[in-house]
Amino acid sequence: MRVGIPRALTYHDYFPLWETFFQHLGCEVIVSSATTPSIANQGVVLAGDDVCYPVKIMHGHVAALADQVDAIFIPRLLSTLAETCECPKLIGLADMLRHSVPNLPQIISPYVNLRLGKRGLLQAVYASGRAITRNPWRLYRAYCAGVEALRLLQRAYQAGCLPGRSSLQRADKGSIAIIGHPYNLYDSYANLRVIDRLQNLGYRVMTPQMLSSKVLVTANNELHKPLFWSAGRTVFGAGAHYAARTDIIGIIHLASFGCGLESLLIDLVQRVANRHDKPLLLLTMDEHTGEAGVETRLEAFLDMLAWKEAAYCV
Amino acid sequence: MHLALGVDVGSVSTNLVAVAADGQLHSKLYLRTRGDPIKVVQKGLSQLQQELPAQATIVGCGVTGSGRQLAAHLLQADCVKNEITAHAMAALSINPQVRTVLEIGGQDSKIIILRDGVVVDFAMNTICAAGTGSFLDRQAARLGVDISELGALALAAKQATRIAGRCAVFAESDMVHKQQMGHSVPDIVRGLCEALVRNYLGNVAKGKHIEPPIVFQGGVAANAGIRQAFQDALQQEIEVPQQYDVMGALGAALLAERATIRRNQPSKWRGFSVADADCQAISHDCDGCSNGCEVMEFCIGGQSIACWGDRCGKWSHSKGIVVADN
Repeated sequence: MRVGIPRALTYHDYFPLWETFFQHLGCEVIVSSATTPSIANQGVVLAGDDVCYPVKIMHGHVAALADQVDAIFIPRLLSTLAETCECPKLIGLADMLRHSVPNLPQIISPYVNLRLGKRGLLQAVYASGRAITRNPWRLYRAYCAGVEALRLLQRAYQAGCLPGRSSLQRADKGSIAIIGHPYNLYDSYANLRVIDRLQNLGYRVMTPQMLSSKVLVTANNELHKPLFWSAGRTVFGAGAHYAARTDIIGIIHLASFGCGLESLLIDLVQRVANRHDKPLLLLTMDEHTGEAGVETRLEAFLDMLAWKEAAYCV
Repeated sequence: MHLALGVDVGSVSTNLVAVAADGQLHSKLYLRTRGDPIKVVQKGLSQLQQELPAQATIVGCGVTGSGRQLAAHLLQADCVKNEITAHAMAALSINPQVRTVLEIGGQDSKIIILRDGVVVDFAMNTICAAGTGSFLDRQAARLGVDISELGALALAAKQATRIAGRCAVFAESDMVHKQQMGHSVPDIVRGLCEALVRNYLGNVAKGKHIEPPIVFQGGVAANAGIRQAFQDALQQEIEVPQQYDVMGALGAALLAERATIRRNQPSKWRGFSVADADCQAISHDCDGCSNGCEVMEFCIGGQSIACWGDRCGKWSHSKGIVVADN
């Protein structure tokens, strides 16, 4: 069985787990290519008008896989952290895609609800592999192998590596934290190569994924009331943690236009950055491919950091 | 006479200035870009050349604005800078104590916060151009008023009509509606100015610490109605520099001067002759890989000078000349 996994949205959080799980069950796993202009354009045409750009990109990836595979894996993520909830667009993603992308093969779309604890997790594992085998032990072993692969990725992140790049990061000019959803941070088409730009200029890039969950939980304690959204806790936690760190010279917040969660996070991160007097740049991303806007803001931000450092420009 | 040349290629206007070594403005030009940045820079150059004394030498050339990359190749500029830094430099040269710069141009608006002569925070409008110069232009044309009279008209109003400022489309339909209800044109224009300022303060300037001295620059600073609306909203004195409309170009010239004279570097700019050269920019989609980059090729006199826009460097490196933002 050939299982397709779209390289979009929560793929960037969980890809080693998903890929290993299906490979362990003997499937051939086909992952769509990194986002290209044609994938993005296709997504914009297929998707509804008022969804965010990352969801539109997802549509393009699913369409690219449609005629290559027997099934596409699009989990229904209700909650990925106890007491939190995921974005409604992620919850309804499989249904949205089923109606907007033509000629889709079977969609494997297990409910993932970690509000139910271990039971919710095991149900999700069973539902994911049910089409391949009904043997619970085989499924559980495949899941464990996947978790091991995910841990390796997490360990690499925490050692300061970024996916798909050479392990060593230069840091001649200092470290800049870049926060936001993983599908914005790690899709260099969607973010107009902002990480490459920073690295090429000699900055070390730090992301939320480089922080342990313990650090993120502590950073979230700063809020009067815990955030309701799973993804929001990571973004805010990273913002609050990096804002307090003296070795981070500035924070870049990469947000999607029209994201409901970001409308809260933008303000929360701004406040915590102000409190620590940490320079913050907000980059709002959408469909535009003109790089001039991002370039201008990024360049002005880096000028500002250098100017502050030296109290002198150029 | 030694002069530094500054060029700001914006979406609506292209400005050129020549600045003397002591920072004094020698001459300035404010031209409409009209979608053809190459032509307008060339035209500006030949006009500027006529205004300058014969013994004048250009010792440095700086470019800024959204068309800075194109202008940098055209002029072979000594310094290529973003608009934020250029505007901050210019504001500091006018008032070294400045703590807040409000700038509203044709397609974008920005706020720059400075403390002790250093930029510490800034913001630009996000993806919408509501409340910028081009929007005011359009509304003035629709009301049949010359854009230069808009400010005086707003000041003559007895009161302000309430206009929605969130979005240009809503503002326009609100204006049409209020006109049909019988509100006078001056009241509507005043309302429009207040809506624009409300939108700016609630959007671009949100969360920024606006402290005096405040300098207001960019093309829209010509509008006395907007100026008044800012003063009313902020309850602060607003300073509009004499050269408010060419501040970006002024900043670019000052930066160019730093990049050349202060470092004892000779200027590498092409000279006024480029004004008459046959210049062309050609774009094509590269089909070398799935990225499908939009590659720009720039030619002077039929000869290819530079390429940019490719991610891999296949085209840009082939020319040997890379004008990097410095």
